[in-house]
Amino acid sequence: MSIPKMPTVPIGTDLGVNWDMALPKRKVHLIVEEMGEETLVYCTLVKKAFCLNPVCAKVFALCDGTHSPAEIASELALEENTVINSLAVLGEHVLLEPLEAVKRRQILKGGAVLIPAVLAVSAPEPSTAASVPGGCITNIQCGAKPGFVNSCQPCDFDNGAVPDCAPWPNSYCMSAWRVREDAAGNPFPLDTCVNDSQATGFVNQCDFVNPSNIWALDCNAARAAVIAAGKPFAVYRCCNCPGR
Amino acid sequence: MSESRSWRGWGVQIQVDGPAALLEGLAYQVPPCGVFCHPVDSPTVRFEWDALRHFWVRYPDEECVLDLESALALEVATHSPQCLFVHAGTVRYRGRALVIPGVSRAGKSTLVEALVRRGTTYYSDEYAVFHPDGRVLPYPRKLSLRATPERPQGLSRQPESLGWEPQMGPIPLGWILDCRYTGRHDLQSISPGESLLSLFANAVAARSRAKALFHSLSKALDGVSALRGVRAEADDAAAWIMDWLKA
Repeated sequence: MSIPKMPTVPIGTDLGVNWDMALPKRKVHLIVEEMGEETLVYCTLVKKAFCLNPVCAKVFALCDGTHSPAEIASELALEENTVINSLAVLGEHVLLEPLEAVKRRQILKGGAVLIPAVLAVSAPEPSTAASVPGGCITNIQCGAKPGFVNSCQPCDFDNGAVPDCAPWPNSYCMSAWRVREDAAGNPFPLDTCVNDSQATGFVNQCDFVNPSNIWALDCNAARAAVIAAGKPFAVYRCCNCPGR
Repeated sequence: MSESRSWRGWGVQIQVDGPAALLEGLAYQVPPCGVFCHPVDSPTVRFEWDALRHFWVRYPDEECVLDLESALALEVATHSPQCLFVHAGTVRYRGRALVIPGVSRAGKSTLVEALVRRGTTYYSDEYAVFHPDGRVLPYPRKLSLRATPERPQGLSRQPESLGWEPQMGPIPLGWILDCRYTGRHDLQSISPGESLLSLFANAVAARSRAKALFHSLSKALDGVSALRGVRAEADDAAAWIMDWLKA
Protein backbone atom coordinates (compact mmCIF):
# COMPACT_ATOMS: atom_id res chain seq x y z
CA MET A 1 0.00 0.00 0.00
CA SER A 2 1.52 3.31 -0.98
CA ILE A 3 1.66 6.10 1.53
CA PRO A 4 0.70 9.60 0.54
CA LYS A 5 3.10 12.43 1.08
CA MET A 6 2.68 14.56 4.15
CA PRO A 7 -0.07 16.96 3.17
CA THR A 8 0.31 20.66 2.85
CA VAL A 9 -1.80 22.17 5.53
CA PRO A 10 -3.94 25.20 4.87
CA ILE A 11 -2.99 27.63 7.55
CA GLY A 12 -5.83 29.26 9.34
CA THR A 13 -8.51 26.68 8.74
CA ASP A 14 -11.77 27.93 10.10
CA LEU A 15 -14.04 25.20 11.36
CA GLY A 16 -16.66 27.57 12.64
CA VAL A 17 -15.49 27.13 16.18
CA ASN A 18 -15.17 29.74 18.85
CA TRP A 19 -11.72 28.69 19.91
CA ASP A 20 -11.77 30.98 22.91
CA MET A 21 -14.42 28.77 24.47
CA ALA A 22 -13.23 25.44 23.17
CA LEU A 23 -11.80 22.72 25.37
CA PRO A 24 -10.56 20.23 22.80
CA LYS A 25 -10.64 16.61 23.78
CA ARG A 26 -9.38 13.47 22.09
CA LYS A 27 -11.89 10.99 20.85
CA VAL A 28 -12.22 7.67 22.51
CA HIS A 29 -11.47 4.55 20.45
CA LEU A 30 -7.97 5.80 19.76
CA ILE A 31 -4.77 3.84 20.22
CA VAL A 32 -1.91 6.24 20.79
CA GLU A 33 1.81 5.61 20.66
CA GLU A 34 4.36 8.33 21.12
CA MET A 35 7.42 7.91 18.99
CA GLY A 36 10.08 10.50 19.58
CA GLU A 37 8.60 13.86 18.69
CA GLU A 38 5.88 12.28 16.58
CA THR A 39 2.75 10.50 17.70
CA LEU A 40 1.05 7.55 16.04
CA VAL A 41 -2.70 7.24 16.42
CA TYR A 42 -4.97 4.44 15.30
CA CYS A 43 -8.72 4.95 15.24
CA THR A 44 -10.51 1.67 15.75
CA LEU A 45 -13.71 3.08 14.33
CA VAL A 46 -12.51 4.33 10.98
CA LYS A 47 -9.63 1.83 10.91
CA LYS A 48 -7.07 4.41 9.97
CA ALA A 49 -3.62 5.13 11.32
CA PHE A 50 -2.27 8.64 11.63
CA CYS A 51 1.16 10.08 12.09
CA LEU A 52 1.09 13.45 13.84
CA ASN A 53 4.09 15.62 13.19
CA PRO A 54 5.82 17.16 16.22
CA VAL A 55 3.63 20.26 16.32
CA CYS A 56 0.39 18.35 16.11
CA ALA A 57 1.69 15.73 18.52
CA LYS A 58 2.41 18.27 21.22
CA VAL A 59 -0.98 19.90 20.84
CA PHE A 60 -2.75 16.53 20.69
CA ALA A 61 -1.12 15.49 23.95
CA LEU A 62 -2.86 18.35 25.73
CA CYS A 63 -6.28 17.74 24.20
CA ASP A 64 -7.70 16.32 27.39
CA GLY A 65 -10.83 18.41 27.67
CA THR A 66 -9.37 20.71 30.29
CA HIS A 67 -7.06 22.94 28.29
CA SER A 68 -8.22 25.80 26.12
CA PRO A 69 -6.20 26.67 23.02
CA ALA A 70 -4.72 29.63 24.82
CA GLU A 71 -3.64 27.42 27.69
CA ILE A 72 -2.16 24.86 25.29
CA ALA A 73 -0.29 27.63 23.51
CA SER A 74 1.01 28.97 26.77
CA GLU A 75 2.10 25.58 28.02
CA LEU A 76 3.85 24.69 24.79
CA ALA A 77 5.22 28.16 24.16
CA LEU A 78 3.55 28.22 20.77
CA GLU A 79 1.61 30.92 18.99
CA GLU A 80 -2.06 30.53 19.65
CA ASN A 81 -2.75 30.46 15.95
CA THR A 82 -0.39 27.53 15.57
CA VAL A 83 -2.34 25.67 18.22
CA ILE A 84 -5.66 26.48 16.61
CA ASN A 85 -4.38 25.41 13.23
CA SER A 86 -3.22 22.15 14.76
CA LEU A 87 -6.63 21.63 16.32
CA ALA A 88 -8.21 22.29 12.96
CA VAL A 89 -6.02 19.66 11.33
CA LEU A 90 -6.72 17.16 14.09
CA GLY A 91 -10.41 17.92 13.82
CA GLU A 92 -10.39 17.36 10.10
CA HIS A 93 -9.10 13.86 10.72
CA VAL A 94 -11.78 13.31 13.34
CA LEU A 95 -9.30 12.73 16.12
CA LEU A 96 -11.04 15.20 18.43
CA GLU A 97 -14.52 15.29 19.84
CA PRO A 98 -16.63 17.79 17.92
CA LEU A 99 -16.30 21.29 19.24
CA GLU A 100 -19.43 23.29 19.62
CA ALA A 101 -19.56 25.95 16.98
CA VAL A 102 -20.57 29.17 18.66
CA LYS A 103 -19.60 31.76 16.16
CA ARG A 104 -17.46 31.97 13.13
CA ARG A 105 -14.11 33.54 13.37
CA GLN A 106 -11.82 35.16 10.91
CA ILE A 107 -9.49 32.81 9.13
CA LEU A 108 -6.44 32.71 11.24
CA LYS A 109 -3.18 34.21 10.17
CA GLY A 110 0.22 33.36 11.45
CA GLY A 111 1.55 30.15 12.82
CA ALA A 112 3.10 29.44 9.48
CA VAL A 113 6.54 28.73 10.83
CA LEU A 114 5.37 25.62 12.63
CA ILE A 115 3.14 23.74 10.29
CA PRO A 116 0.90 21.14 11.84
CA ALA A 117 0.38 18.07 9.73
CA VAL A 118 -1.20 14.66 9.95
CA LEU A 119 -0.47 11.74 7.66
CA ALA A 120 -3.12 9.06 7.42
CA VAL A 121 -3.28 5.54 6.02
CA SER A 122 -6.01 2.94 6.10
CA ALA A 123 -5.36 -0.30 7.92
CA PRO A 124 -5.47 -3.05 5.30
CA GLU A 125 -7.60 -6.14 5.44
CA PRO A 126 -5.40 -9.17 6.11
CA SER A 127 -5.81 -10.50 2.61
CA THR A 128 -4.84 -7.13 1.16
CA ALA A 129 -1.51 -7.23 2.88
CA ALA A 130 -0.42 -10.47 1.32
CA SER A 131 0.39 -12.07 -1.98
CA VAL A 132 -2.69 -14.18 -1.93
CA PRO A 133 -3.82 -15.12 -5.38
CA GLY A 134 -6.19 -12.48 -6.51
CA GLY A 135 -6.58 -11.68 -10.12
CA CYS A 136 -4.71 -14.04 -12.36
CA ILE A 137 -1.81 -15.34 -10.39
CA THR A 138 -1.13 -17.76 -13.08
CA ASN A 139 2.49 -17.34 -13.96
CA ILE A 140 3.57 -20.81 -13.17
CA GLN A 141 0.20 -22.22 -13.99
CA CYS A 142 0.39 -20.94 -17.52
CA GLY A 143 3.99 -21.87 -17.98
CA ALA A 144 3.46 -25.33 -16.68
CA LYS A 145 0.67 -26.25 -18.99
CA PRO A 146 1.07 -27.34 -22.59
CA GLY A 147 -0.64 -24.87 -24.79
CA PHE A 148 -0.30 -22.00 -22.41
CA VAL A 149 1.96 -19.27 -23.58
CA ASN A 150 2.52 -17.43 -20.41
CA SER A 151 0.91 -15.73 -17.55
CA CYS A 152 -1.45 -12.87 -17.44
CA GLN A 153 -0.92 -10.03 -15.11
CA PRO A 154 -3.65 -9.27 -12.59
CA CYS A 155 -7.03 -8.83 -14.10
CA ASP A 156 -7.43 -5.25 -13.14
CA PHE A 157 -9.90 -4.58 -15.86
CA ASP A 158 -13.28 -6.01 -16.46
CA ASN A 159 -13.07 -5.99 -20.18
CA GLY A 160 -10.68 -5.89 -23.02
CA ALA A 161 -6.96 -6.15 -23.24
CA VAL A 162 -4.88 -5.51 -20.22
CA PRO A 163 -1.73 -3.52 -20.82
CA ASP A 164 0.31 -5.75 -18.60
CA CYS A 165 -0.57 -8.73 -20.74
CA ALA A 166 0.53 -7.04 -23.90
CA PRO A 167 4.06 -8.49 -23.89
CA TRP A 168 2.59 -11.95 -24.15
CA PRO A 169 0.91 -12.58 -27.47
CA ASN A 170 -2.53 -14.03 -27.20
CA SER A 171 -2.75 -13.45 -23.51
CA TYR A 172 -5.41 -11.19 -22.27
CA CYS A 173 -7.88 -10.66 -19.53
CA MET A 174 -11.53 -10.10 -19.96
CA SER A 175 -14.77 -10.52 -18.20
CA ALA A 176 -16.44 -13.76 -17.41
CA TRP A 177 -20.02 -14.03 -16.54
CA ARG A 178 -21.65 -15.96 -13.86
CA VAL A 179 -25.22 -17.07 -13.96
CA ARG A 180 -26.56 -16.24 -10.57
CA GLU A 181 -30.04 -17.49 -11.12
CA ASP A 182 -32.05 -19.01 -13.83
CA ALA A 183 -34.92 -17.38 -15.64
CA ALA A 184 -37.30 -18.42 -12.88
CA GLY A 185 -35.12 -16.78 -10.27
CA ASN A 186 -33.82 -19.98 -8.79
CA PRO A 187 -30.19 -19.79 -7.74
CA PHE A 188 -27.76 -21.77 -9.79
CA PRO A 189 -25.63 -24.16 -7.86
CA LEU A 190 -22.11 -23.02 -7.22
CA ASP A 191 -19.57 -24.31 -9.65
CA THR A 192 -22.05 -24.38 -12.45
CA CYS A 193 -20.10 -22.93 -15.28
CA VAL A 194 -21.73 -20.64 -17.74
CA ASN A 195 -20.69 -22.94 -20.46
CA ASP A 196 -18.52 -25.82 -19.52
CA SER A 197 -17.75 -26.72 -23.09
CA GLN A 198 -15.91 -23.45 -23.45
CA ALA A 199 -13.20 -24.78 -21.28
CA THR A 200 -12.55 -28.03 -23.03
CA GLY A 201 -8.90 -28.81 -23.12
CA PHE A 202 -7.98 -26.17 -20.66
CA VAL A 203 -6.85 -26.41 -17.15
CA ASN A 204 -10.02 -25.12 -15.89
CA GLN A 205 -13.31 -23.57 -16.38
CA CYS A 206 -15.21 -20.83 -14.78
CA ASP A 207 -14.80 -20.74 -11.09
CA PHE A 208 -17.46 -19.10 -9.05
CA VAL A 209 -16.05 -19.70 -5.64
CA ASN A 210 -13.19 -17.34 -6.06
CA PRO A 211 -14.47 -14.88 -8.59
CA SER A 212 -11.18 -13.21 -9.28
CA ASN A 213 -9.63 -16.43 -10.45
CA ILE A 214 -11.78 -17.54 -13.29
CA TRP A 215 -10.42 -19.40 -16.23
CA ALA A 216 -12.23 -19.99 -19.45
CA LEU A 217 -11.30 -20.59 -23.01
CA ASP A 218 -13.45 -17.86 -24.38
CA CYS A 219 -15.24 -15.63 -21.98
CA ASN A 220 -16.83 -13.63 -24.74
CA ALA A 221 -18.56 -16.73 -25.97
CA ALA A 222 -19.56 -17.60 -22.45
CA ARG A 223 -20.99 -14.17 -21.97
CA ALA A 224 -22.81 -14.34 -25.27
CA ALA A 225 -24.35 -17.63 -24.24
CA VAL A 226 -25.65 -16.09 -21.06
CA ILE A 227 -27.08 -13.13 -22.85
CA ALA A 228 -28.66 -15.30 -25.54
CA ALA A 229 -30.30 -17.38 -22.86
CA GLY A 230 -31.81 -14.26 -21.39
CA LYS A 231 -30.46 -15.06 -18.00
CA PRO A 232 -29.43 -12.56 -15.37
CA PHE A 233 -25.75 -12.44 -14.79
CA ALA A 234 -23.05 -10.73 -12.84
CA VAL A 235 -19.66 -9.68 -14.05
CA TYR A 236 -16.76 -11.69 -12.84
CA ARG A 237 -13.22 -11.50 -14.01
CA CYS A 238 -11.60 -13.97 -16.23
CA CYS A 239 -8.03 -14.46 -17.13
CA ASN A 240 -7.46 -16.07 -20.43
CA CYS A 241 -3.95 -17.18 -21.14
CA PRO A 242 -4.07 -19.81 -23.84
CA GLY A 243 -1.61 -19.66 -26.67
CA ARG A 244 -3.82 -19.64 -29.66
CA MET B 1 -10.28 -41.06 0.95
CA SER B 2 -10.12 -38.09 3.29
CA GLU B 3 -7.27 -37.75 5.74
CA SER B 4 -5.94 -35.14 8.11
CA ARG B 5 -2.56 -33.51 8.54
CA SER B 6 -1.59 -31.16 11.32
CA TRP B 7 1.15 -28.58 11.19
CA ARG B 8 2.44 -26.20 13.81
CA GLY B 9 4.51 -23.07 13.37
CA TRP B 10 4.65 -19.43 14.44
CA GLY B 11 2.33 -20.23 17.33
CA VAL B 12 -0.39 -21.43 14.98
CA GLN B 13 -1.67 -24.97 14.59
CA ILE B 14 -3.27 -25.81 11.28
CA GLN B 15 -5.22 -28.90 10.39
CA VAL B 16 -5.89 -29.74 6.78
CA ASP B 17 -8.54 -32.31 5.97
CA GLY B 18 -8.75 -33.55 2.45
CA PRO B 19 -8.02 -36.26 -0.04
CA ALA B 20 -4.83 -38.19 0.58
CA ALA B 21 -3.55 -37.21 -2.85
CA LEU B 22 -3.81 -33.54 -1.98
CA LEU B 23 -2.18 -33.95 1.39
CA GLU B 24 0.81 -35.72 -0.11
CA GLY B 25 2.05 -32.40 -1.40
CA LEU B 26 1.33 -30.46 1.76
CA ALA B 27 4.95 -30.51 2.87
CA TYR B 28 5.78 -28.20 -0.02
CA GLN B 29 3.00 -25.78 0.79
CA VAL B 30 3.20 -25.11 4.50
CA PRO B 31 4.99 -21.94 5.61
CA PRO B 32 8.63 -22.10 6.64
CA CYS B 33 9.79 -22.69 10.19
CA GLY B 34 7.13 -25.16 11.26
CA VAL B 35 6.72 -28.88 11.77
CA PHE B 36 4.10 -31.49 11.16
CA CYS B 37 2.67 -32.64 14.43
CA HIS B 38 0.01 -34.69 16.10
CA PRO B 39 -3.48 -33.29 15.75
CA VAL B 40 -5.06 -31.36 18.59
CA ASP B 41 -8.71 -30.97 19.48
CA SER B 42 -8.83 -27.27 18.68
CA PRO B 43 -6.46 -26.21 15.94
CA THR B 44 -6.09 -22.51 15.37
CA VAL B 45 -7.18 -22.91 11.78
CA ARG B 46 -8.83 -25.82 10.07
CA PHE B 47 -8.98 -26.24 6.33
CA GLU B 48 -11.72 -28.60 5.43
CA TRP B 49 -12.52 -30.18 2.15
CA ASP B 50 -15.33 -27.77 1.40
CA ALA B 51 -12.99 -24.84 1.69
CA LEU B 52 -10.28 -26.55 -0.30
CA ARG B 53 -12.52 -27.90 -2.95
CA HIS B 54 -12.20 -25.01 -5.32
CA PHE B 55 -8.44 -25.24 -5.19
CA TRP B 56 -8.69 -28.86 -6.06
CA VAL B 57 -11.27 -28.46 -8.74
CA ARG B 58 -9.43 -25.72 -10.48
CA TYR B 59 -5.95 -27.08 -10.22
CA PRO B 60 -6.15 -30.82 -10.06
CA ASP B 61 -2.41 -31.25 -10.16
CA GLU B 62 0.63 -29.41 -8.92
CA GLU B 63 -0.92 -26.02 -9.43
CA CYS B 64 -3.34 -26.38 -6.60
CA VAL B 65 -0.42 -25.91 -4.26
CA LEU B 66 -0.07 -22.30 -5.27
CA ASP B 67 -3.31 -21.15 -3.81
CA LEU B 68 -3.11 -23.44 -0.85
CA GLU B 69 0.40 -22.28 -0.04
CA SER B 70 -0.67 -18.66 0.00
CA ALA B 71 -3.80 -19.42 1.96
CA LEU B 72 -1.81 -21.27 4.60
CA ALA B 73 0.72 -18.46 4.83
CA LEU B 74 -2.01 -15.89 5.25
CA GLU B 75 -3.67 -17.86 8.04
CA VAL B 76 -0.39 -18.13 9.88
CA ALA B 77 0.33 -14.43 9.40
CA THR B 78 -3.14 -13.53 10.61
CA HIS B 79 -3.28 -15.78 13.65
CA SER B 80 0.27 -15.82 14.94
CA PRO B 81 -0.17 -14.82 18.57
CA GLN B 82 3.17 -13.12 19.03
CA CYS B 83 4.88 -12.35 15.78
CA LEU B 84 3.70 -9.52 13.58
CA PHE B 85 3.72 -10.09 9.85
CA VAL B 86 4.28 -7.24 7.44
CA HIS B 87 4.00 -7.85 3.74
CA ALA B 88 7.55 -7.06 2.73
CA GLY B 89 10.76 -8.35 1.29
CA THR B 90 13.66 -8.63 3.71
CA VAL B 91 17.39 -9.00 3.34
CA ARG B 92 20.16 -9.01 5.89
CA TYR B 93 23.22 -6.81 5.61
CA ARG B 94 25.94 -6.43 8.23
CA GLY B 95 23.75 -7.99 10.87
CA ARG B 96 20.75 -5.75 10.32
CA ALA B 97 17.59 -6.07 8.29
CA LEU B 98 16.54 -4.06 5.29
CA VAL B 99 12.77 -4.29 5.04
CA ILE B 100 11.00 -3.42 1.79
CA PRO B 101 7.26 -3.19 2.48
CA GLY B 102 4.81 -3.21 -0.36
CA VAL B 103 1.78 -4.73 -1.93
CA SER B 104 1.89 -7.54 -4.41
CA ARG B 105 3.62 -6.62 -7.65
CA ALA B 106 5.35 -3.59 -6.22
CA GLY B 107 8.58 -5.31 -7.24
CA LYS B 108 9.71 -6.54 -3.85
CA SER B 109 10.89 -9.99 -4.87
CA THR B 110 12.72 -8.67 -7.89
CA LEU B 111 14.54 -6.12 -5.77
CA VAL B 112 15.31 -8.69 -3.09
CA GLU B 113 16.83 -10.99 -5.67
CA ALA B 114 18.94 -8.15 -7.08
CA LEU B 115 20.11 -7.17 -3.60
CA VAL B 116 21.08 -10.75 -2.81
CA ARG B 117 23.20 -10.82 -5.95
CA ARG B 118 25.01 -7.75 -4.60
CA GLY B 119 25.95 -9.27 -1.30
CA THR B 120 22.99 -9.19 1.05
CA THR B 121 21.51 -12.32 2.57
CA TYR B 122 18.00 -13.47 1.83
CA TYR B 123 15.49 -13.39 4.68
CA SER B 124 12.16 -13.29 2.89
CA ASP B 125 10.37 -12.11 -0.21
CA GLU B 126 6.92 -12.27 1.34
CA TYR B 127 6.83 -11.24 4.98
CA ALA B 128 9.00 -9.28 7.35
CA VAL B 129 8.20 -10.98 10.62
CA PHE B 130 8.62 -8.78 13.68
CA HIS B 131 9.23 -10.29 17.07
CA PRO B 132 7.45 -8.38 19.87
CA ASP B 133 10.83 -6.95 20.89
CA GLY B 134 11.12 -5.32 17.48
CA ARG B 135 13.69 -7.61 15.90
CA VAL B 136 13.13 -9.11 12.47
CA LEU B 137 12.88 -12.87 12.00
CA PRO B 138 13.66 -14.72 8.78
CA TYR B 139 10.73 -16.12 6.84
CA PRO B 140 12.71 -18.34 4.51
CA ARG B 141 10.23 -19.49 1.96
CA LYS B 142 11.52 -19.99 -1.54
CA LEU B 143 11.99 -16.80 -3.53
CA SER B 144 9.65 -16.65 -6.49
CA LEU B 145 9.84 -14.24 -9.37
CA ARG B 146 6.98 -13.96 -11.75
CA ALA B 147 7.42 -14.68 -15.40
CA THR B 148 8.40 -11.87 -17.71
CA PRO B 149 9.03 -11.79 -21.42
CA GLU B 150 12.76 -12.01 -20.66
CA ARG B 151 12.26 -14.77 -18.10
CA PRO B 152 9.29 -16.74 -19.41
CA GLN B 153 9.46 -19.46 -16.82
CA GLY B 154 9.82 -17.16 -13.86
CA LEU B 155 12.37 -17.94 -11.19
CA SER B 156 12.19 -20.01 -8.06
CA ARG B 157 15.12 -20.33 -5.71
CA GLN B 158 15.49 -22.03 -2.39
CA PRO B 159 16.55 -19.76 0.47
CA GLU B 160 19.69 -21.78 1.07
CA SER B 161 20.90 -20.85 -2.39
CA LEU B 162 20.48 -17.17 -1.50
CA GLY B 163 22.68 -17.18 1.55
CA TRP B 164 20.11 -17.99 4.18
CA GLU B 165 21.24 -20.48 6.81
CA PRO B 166 19.03 -22.25 9.32
CA GLN B 167 20.90 -20.86 12.30
CA MET B 168 20.12 -17.29 11.31
CA GLY B 169 17.84 -15.77 13.88
CA PRO B 170 16.24 -12.44 14.69
CA ILE B 171 18.19 -9.31 13.85
CA PRO B 172 17.60 -5.62 14.50
CA LEU B 173 15.93 -3.55 11.87
CA GLY B 174 18.37 -1.28 10.06
CA TRP B 175 16.58 0.21 7.11
CA ILE B 176 13.14 0.68 5.63
CA LEU B 177 12.71 1.13 1.91
CA ASP B 178 9.12 1.90 0.95
CA CYS B 179 9.24 2.03 -2.80
CA ARG B 180 7.64 0.71 -5.91
CA TYR B 181 8.98 0.19 -9.36
CA THR B 182 8.17 2.86 -11.93
CA GLY B 183 11.37 2.98 -13.93
CA ARG B 184 12.65 6.25 -12.53
CA HIS B 185 14.51 6.86 -9.32
CA ASP B 186 13.22 9.23 -6.65
CA LEU B 187 13.65 8.26 -3.01
CA GLN B 188 13.27 10.67 -0.13
CA SER B 189 14.08 10.32 3.54
CA ILE B 190 11.09 9.90 5.83
CA SER B 191 10.62 10.28 9.57
CA PRO B 192 10.32 7.40 12.02
CA GLY B 193 6.59 7.98 12.31
CA GLU B 194 6.14 7.89 8.58
CA SER B 195 8.26 4.75 8.45
CA LEU B 196 5.97 3.12 10.95
CA LEU B 197 2.98 4.01 8.81
CA SER B 198 4.70 2.42 5.83
CA LEU B 199 4.98 -0.84 7.75
CA PHE B 200 1.54 -0.53 9.30
CA ALA B 201 -0.09 -0.05 5.91
CA ASN B 202 1.25 -3.45 4.90
CA ALA B 203 0.74 -5.30 8.16
CA VAL B 204 -1.48 -8.36 8.00
CA ALA B 205 -2.98 -7.82 11.44
CA ALA B 206 -3.21 -4.04 11.23
CA ARG B 207 -6.86 -4.01 12.15
CA SER B 208 -6.84 -6.59 14.87
CA ARG B 209 -3.50 -5.86 16.52
CA ALA B 210 -2.86 -2.18 15.98
CA LYS B 211 -1.66 -1.61 19.52
CA ALA B 212 0.88 -4.43 19.37
CA LEU B 213 2.05 -3.22 15.98
CA PHE B 214 2.57 0.32 17.20
CA HIS B 215 4.43 -0.93 20.23
CA SER B 216 6.72 -3.39 18.48
CA LEU B 217 7.35 -1.31 15.41
CA SER B 218 8.15 1.82 17.38
CA LYS B 219 10.82 -0.19 19.19
CA ALA B 220 12.04 -1.69 15.95
CA LEU B 221 12.37 1.70 14.29
CA ASP B 222 14.70 3.20 16.86
CA GLY B 223 17.69 4.53 14.94
CA VAL B 224 16.51 3.20 11.60
CA SER B 225 17.07 4.96 8.28
CA ALA B 226 14.10 5.05 5.95
CA LEU B 227 13.35 6.12 2.40
CA ARG B 228 10.18 6.30 0.40
CA GLY B 229 9.53 6.84 -3.26
CA VAL B 230 9.91 5.15 -6.60
CA ARG B 231 12.76 3.16 -8.01
CA ALA B 232 14.40 2.34 -11.29
CA GLU B 233 15.18 -1.11 -12.67
CA ALA B 234 16.10 -3.60 -9.98
CA ASP B 235 19.78 -3.82 -10.85
CA ASP B 236 20.28 -0.07 -10.93
CA ALA B 237 18.21 0.39 -7.81
CA ALA B 238 20.11 -2.34 -5.99
CA ALA B 239 23.43 -0.66 -6.75
CA TRP B 240 22.14 2.60 -5.35
CA ILE B 241 20.65 0.89 -2.32
CA MET B 242 23.91 -0.88 -1.55
CA ASP B 243 25.66 2.47 -1.42
CA TRP B 244 22.96 3.68 0.91
CA LEU B 245 23.37 0.67 3.18
CA LYS B 246 27.13 1.12 3.30
CA ALA B 247 26.88 4.81 4.15
